[in-house]
Amino acid sequence: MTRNSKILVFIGAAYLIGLMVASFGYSHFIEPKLAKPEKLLIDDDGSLIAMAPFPPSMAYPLGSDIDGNSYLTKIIEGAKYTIGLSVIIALGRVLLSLLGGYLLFLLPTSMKRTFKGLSDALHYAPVTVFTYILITPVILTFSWSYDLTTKIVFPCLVIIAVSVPVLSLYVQEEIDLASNNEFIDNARTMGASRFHIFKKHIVPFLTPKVVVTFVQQMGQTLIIFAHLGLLNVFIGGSDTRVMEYDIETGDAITETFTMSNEWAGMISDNFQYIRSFPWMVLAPVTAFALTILAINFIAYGLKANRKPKRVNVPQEKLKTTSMSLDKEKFRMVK
Amino acid sequence: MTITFFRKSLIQFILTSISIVLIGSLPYLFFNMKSQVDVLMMIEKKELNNTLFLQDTIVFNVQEYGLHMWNTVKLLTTGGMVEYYESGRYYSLFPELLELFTKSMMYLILGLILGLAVAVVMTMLIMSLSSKVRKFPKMILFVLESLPDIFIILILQLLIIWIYKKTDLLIFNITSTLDGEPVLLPILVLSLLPGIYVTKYLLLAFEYEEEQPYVKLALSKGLSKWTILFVHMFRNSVLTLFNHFKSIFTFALANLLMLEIIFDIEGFMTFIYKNSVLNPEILTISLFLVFVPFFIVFTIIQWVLESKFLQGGGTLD
Repeated sequence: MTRNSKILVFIGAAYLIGLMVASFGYSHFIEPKLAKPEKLLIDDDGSLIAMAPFPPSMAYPLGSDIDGNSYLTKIIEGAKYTIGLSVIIALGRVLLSLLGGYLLFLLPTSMKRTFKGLSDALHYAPVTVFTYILITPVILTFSWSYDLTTKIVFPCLVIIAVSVPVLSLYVQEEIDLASNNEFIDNARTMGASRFHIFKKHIVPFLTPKVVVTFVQQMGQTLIIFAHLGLLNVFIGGSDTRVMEYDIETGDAITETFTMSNEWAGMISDNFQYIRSFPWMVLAPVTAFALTILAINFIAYGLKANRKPKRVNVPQEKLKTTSMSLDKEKFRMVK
Repeated sequence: MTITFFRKSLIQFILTSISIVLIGSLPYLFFNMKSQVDVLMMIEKKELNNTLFLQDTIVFNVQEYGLHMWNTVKLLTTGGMVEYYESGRYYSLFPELLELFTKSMMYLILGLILGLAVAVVMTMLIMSLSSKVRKFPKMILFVLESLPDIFIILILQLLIIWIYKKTDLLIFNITSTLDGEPVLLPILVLSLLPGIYVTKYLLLAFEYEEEQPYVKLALSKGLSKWTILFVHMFRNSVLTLFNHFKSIFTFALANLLMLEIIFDIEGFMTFIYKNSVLNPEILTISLFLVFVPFFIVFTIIQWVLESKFLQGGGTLD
C-alpha cells in the first residue's frame, strides 16, 4: 500500500466512522435534552430579526428547516439510517452476486454468454428507473394496501436485486480469470474437488476485489437513494405517506413525512422549496456528495492495494545471498 | 467475418429484446396491477373514500406476468393503439411519446458529442504535461467523478441563479417558463459528466499506450510528440474508449432523468417517470425506443472498428 492510498483510505474511513458515531451519540445523549427549536430569531431589544427557515449562518451552518431545526443536526441524525441502509444493501448485493457469480461460473460458456446478452438490457435505461418502477407501487401509488414491513423490506430487496445480474457477471469473470492460473490445473490433477479449489485458491484472489466492490456498491446505493429521493421515493419512515389519498379526502395527515431524518426523505420533502430556500435541498444533497466522496476515497485507496504481496519478499532474500560471493563458492570446471 | 459478426449482433439484439420484455412486465409479477389500478381509479373518481379495509401483499403472479408479456409482444408486433392512464383518464401514447423522445434525445446526443469533443481536447492538454504535473488535473478529475450527478446539476443551477442575483445577468435560461424551455444549459450540463468520464478513460488508455514500445520507436525515429499523440496513440485509444462508451451512455441517461427533473423540463425521462408505474407498457416501449437506434449505431461503430483494427481476426471484447 502506498502512502497516498493509505491516507485516502484513512480520510474516508475517519469521515464515515466519525459521522456514524456522531449520529448515534447525538440521538442518544444530546437530542433528548434539547429544547424546542426557535421559529423566530429575536434580537436583544426584542425586535424580530428573521423567521424560519433560516439561511446558512454561524448558528445554522447548513441553514434550518421551516420549524427552525438546524440542518446540520438533522443530517447528523439521519446519517445512521442512510449509511446503515446502504451498508445492508451493499452487503446483500455482494453476497447474492457472489452466489450468483459462482453458479454462473459452473455453467457452460454458451449459457454464460446468454446471461451476458440478457443483462445488456440494463444499459438502455438508468438503474434508478427500474428501481422506481418496482418500488413506487408499494410506497406511493398503491400505498393503502401494503403494511409497514412490506414497505421497508420490499424496496430494499428491489434495490439489492437490481444490481445482482451485472455484479454476478463481474464476479463470474473474476473467478474465470483466477481459475486460468496454472496452479489451479495442478490442484486439479492432485485430486482437489471443485469446491476445495474455489475455497482454497480462488477465494484469496477474489477477496480484495470483493472488498472494493462492497465499498463501491455502498456508493452506488447512496446514489440510488439520492436519485430516488428526487423522484419522491424513500425508504426510511415513509410509512404513512399517502399523498393522493390525503388530497382527495381532505384529511390532513402530513406529520409523518420524515419519521427519520433520512437524507433521501429530506430531499424528497424539500424539493418543492428549491427555488425559495435552496439550502433545504442542498444540505442533504451535499451530505450525500461528501459521503459518496469519502466512500470513493476508500475504494480508490483499496484498489491501489491490489498488488500481490509476495512480489517483494523474494527480492530482499536475493539481495542478501548475492552479496556474499567469494572464492570458496567457485569450483573449477574442466 | 462479416457473417459471424452479423449473426452475433442479431443474437445480441434478440437477447436484449427478450430481457426488455421480461423487465417491462415485472410489476405484473409482484403486484395485482389490475385490481389495484381499479381501486386507484375509484379513489380518483371519488367513488371510494375509505381504503383502510383494503389489504394486499406482494404476490408472485406468474400467470399474469406471462399474459402481460404476451400482450406486450402482440402490441409491439402489431403496433396497435396504445393508451395510457393518468389521473382518471386515458390518453393516446403516440405521437406524444415520440415528440418527447426526439426532444430529449437531441439534448442527450448533443451533450454527448460536446462532452466527447471537450474530453478529447482536455486529454490532449493533460497528456502534453509532464507526468509529474499531470497529478493535479487527475486529482480534480477524480473528485469530480466521485460526486453524484444531482449534486453537480444542483450546484450549477444555483450558481447561475446566484450570478443572476448578483449581476442581473442571466447567462442561461434555467427553468421552463412561458418563453420556452432551456436548451443550451441542459446540453452543457449533460456534456459535463460524461465528458469527465470520457476524459478519465481516455487518459487511462493514453497512459497505457505511452508505455508501449512503438511510442519510443516513433520518438527515436524523429516523429514529433504531437503526431504520435494525435495520430498513433489516439488511434489505439479509440478502441478502449469505445468499450467503455456503453456504460458512459447509461450514465448519461441517468443524468438526463435528473436534469429533466431539476430543470423542470417535460421530457422523455420524466414521462417514463410519471406514467410507467401505472402503465408498465410505457417502460417497455420506451426501452425499445432507446435500444433500437442506439444498438444499431453501436453495432455499426463496432463493425467499422473491428474491420479497421482487427483485420487479422479476433474480436473487440
